[in-house]
Amino acid sequence: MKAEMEYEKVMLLSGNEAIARGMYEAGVSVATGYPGTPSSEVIQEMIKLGMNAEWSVNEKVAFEIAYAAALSGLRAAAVMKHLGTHWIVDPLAVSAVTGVEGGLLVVSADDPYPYSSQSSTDTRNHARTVHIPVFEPSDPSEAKEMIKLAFEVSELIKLPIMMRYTARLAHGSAPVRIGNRVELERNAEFKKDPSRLISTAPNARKNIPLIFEKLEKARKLFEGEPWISFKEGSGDIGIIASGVPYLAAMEIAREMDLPLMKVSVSHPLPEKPVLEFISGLKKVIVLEDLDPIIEDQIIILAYNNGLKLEIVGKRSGHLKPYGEIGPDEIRGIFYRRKAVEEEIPRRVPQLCPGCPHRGSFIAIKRALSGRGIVLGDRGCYNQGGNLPLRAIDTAIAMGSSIAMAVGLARSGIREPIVAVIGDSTFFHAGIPPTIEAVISRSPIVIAILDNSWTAMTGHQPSPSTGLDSLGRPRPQLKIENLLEAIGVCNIKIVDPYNIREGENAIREAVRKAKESLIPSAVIFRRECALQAVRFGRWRRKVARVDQEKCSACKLCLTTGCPAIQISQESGKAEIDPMDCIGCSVCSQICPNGAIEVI
Amino acid sequence: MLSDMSKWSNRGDIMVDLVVCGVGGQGIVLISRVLARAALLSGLHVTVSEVRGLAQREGSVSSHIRIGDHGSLTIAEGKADAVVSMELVEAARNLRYLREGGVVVSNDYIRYHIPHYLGISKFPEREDLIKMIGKHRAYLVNARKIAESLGNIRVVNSVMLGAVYSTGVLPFSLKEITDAISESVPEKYRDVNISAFKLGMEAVRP
Repeated sequence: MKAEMEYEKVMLLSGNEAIARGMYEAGVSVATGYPGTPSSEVIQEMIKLGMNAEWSVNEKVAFEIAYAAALSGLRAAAVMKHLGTHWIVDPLAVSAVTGVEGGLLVVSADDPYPYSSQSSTDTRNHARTVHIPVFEPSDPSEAKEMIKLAFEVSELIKLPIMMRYTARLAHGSAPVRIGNRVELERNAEFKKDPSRLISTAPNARKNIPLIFEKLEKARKLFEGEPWISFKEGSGDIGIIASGVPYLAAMEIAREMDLPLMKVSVSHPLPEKPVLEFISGLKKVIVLEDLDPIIEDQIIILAYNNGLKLEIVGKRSGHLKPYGEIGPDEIRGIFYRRKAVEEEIPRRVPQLCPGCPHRGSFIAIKRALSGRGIVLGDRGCYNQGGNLPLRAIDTAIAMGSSIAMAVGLARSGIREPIVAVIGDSTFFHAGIPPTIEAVISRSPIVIAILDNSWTAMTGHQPSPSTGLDSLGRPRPQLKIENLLEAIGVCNIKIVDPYNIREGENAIREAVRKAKESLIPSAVIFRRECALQAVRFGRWRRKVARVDQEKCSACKLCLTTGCPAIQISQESGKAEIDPMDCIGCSVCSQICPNGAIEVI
Repeated sequence: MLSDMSKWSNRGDIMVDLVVCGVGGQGIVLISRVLARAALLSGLHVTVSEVRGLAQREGSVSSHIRIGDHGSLTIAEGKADAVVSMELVEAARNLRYLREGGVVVSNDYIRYHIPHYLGISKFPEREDLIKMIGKHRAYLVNARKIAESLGNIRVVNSVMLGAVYSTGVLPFSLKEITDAISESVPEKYRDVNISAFKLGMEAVRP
């Protein structure tokens, strides 16, 4: 929802917008991140608020930038989706050992369902692994206030803090009261402290016990409001909830008049009030998104204190150990759920009309003609794995395409092996595996789909864009120069809108890699069509189907272009002039020459 | 720290749950924004929960709008007062949220996805969709035709808003909802959107 929706200093803000606003009000000096749904709008909003916020090349670099700023006494934050949080655990653990000067906050967006992730993981586990507090807001208003408190707590105990939220909150909007920015007037000052900051094993052994002292101090702090709160109810069945599930729990508790406890910090758990709450109960229902982290601690707490109460949640089998906890899941504990009627098939997403990846994929498919293995990566081009295009065989994690291609070659697979990766993903995680491919003499083809943006997550600039988030010029990295420096052979740059050219380049690349035992590369280079049209760098044209020549073979539909539809009357192809931008890929596919681009 | 809803609910126990849905690019976010704005204008608390997946890329899009003093960001199955859809397949897909006696308002338009045409993953045909929706108090609106009569097919969302308003499910005055539309669209398109809203109202006679 848009930020300008103002009503008496109350604005309707999404979780992401509220988090950005919280950062602003908290006086954050340096903010970094890497785009990823559901967290992308946070950095975008901070940039709009005029803050010192910018995208980094990947999450680990983003975190280390923020960490250095916090060591220099400033308030700093790194924002990422759960998959990115996995990348930062190594330096995050050290930041707990060294401690921080200015407040340091990691905002980690989990995707329980998942709506837009290849896996679903609970990043609260990482906070526990590295021994730092983790906060869990329930709604946008609380998210904003919690950000401000996080910096205060971080500066009080000198530990980084993690705030874990979920996709539902990221894109859920509610009225939020707007506050002012605190003016901290701090200047960065890096104080040398070798016994802490040169974290060798002997120094680490000395500093690690301090983490636990800090955590115990924090635990005491968390034993009161606003970290925990109660709602009265009658009877001996109670609910303990955190995060978004708390909102649904509130409705059920009201409906059934049950006592309800909200826990906003799951590590370190404020054990004293939790123990007091469960002591008077026969049964407690624990509601939290993803892993049973609070639940497990309650089980231990009950055991250690000899309490004989029933603990209902994921361990008891009442809730699934995966997916979102919404009102239906909670109701399912109390009532039998009505069987869902026959599902309507899921809509299969496609590449956009005019997307350059379409031509690249068709070229790769044609060159390989049914042989070979195509390893995909993470980005818009995942839609190329959907029917009808089905042009990739895998989509795993950032940078996995190239590394797994090396793995297949090393396993003795003799078929052509093509790794397909986008420009932003290549910069994020594709460079080390490219080095691996060269030094391991892997005869693979690296196909780089360079559309010069991080397009999937809303067109953030990539190192190949040459512009920053405010559109100011900055160094533009050329992927071909990097590939050459690494030692990749036969680097060819082609236009994705020219299928024949791409097809020939892939054929040649397969041959060259096989002959030389050195990876070869084809760079499919053309700007994302949405951006090219938006900025007037592509003049829209329109493809038209000659109804006389069309034989209704539906071959054009196999390109997966959403602009092409089939007429109910004639069964022949039709192209929607509102959607089509005239890329001409379908006209190159049509065996009857029935599609003309005007 | 939670947003305090008691301040907002100055109109007693008004609680309305709406599911707004359609296909990416059909203006689901705009409709949600107008409804949320109207709620705030009328002094009611509101939350909007969006599921945006692949808006530009043919995905299903929906948002749950909860007006009044609620809790959960999402509506439980069988609890929505209305399902408002820009597309028939998505209307049918979201019927599971509708409560008994709830109302369905759908644009009379079907957007098939490509696998349907290739026979890989078939959607129900129009007659079947209408049968599914027809089990409830349902209104079909040919929003595109109405918008075309105004010479601007982009006002389909305002047509649908008028149709929904006409069913009586929205707890807003006519002024609140039309003000919300006026504030949500570019100035030069205000009049045509208000005309579209009025034609949408006339298209539904409950």
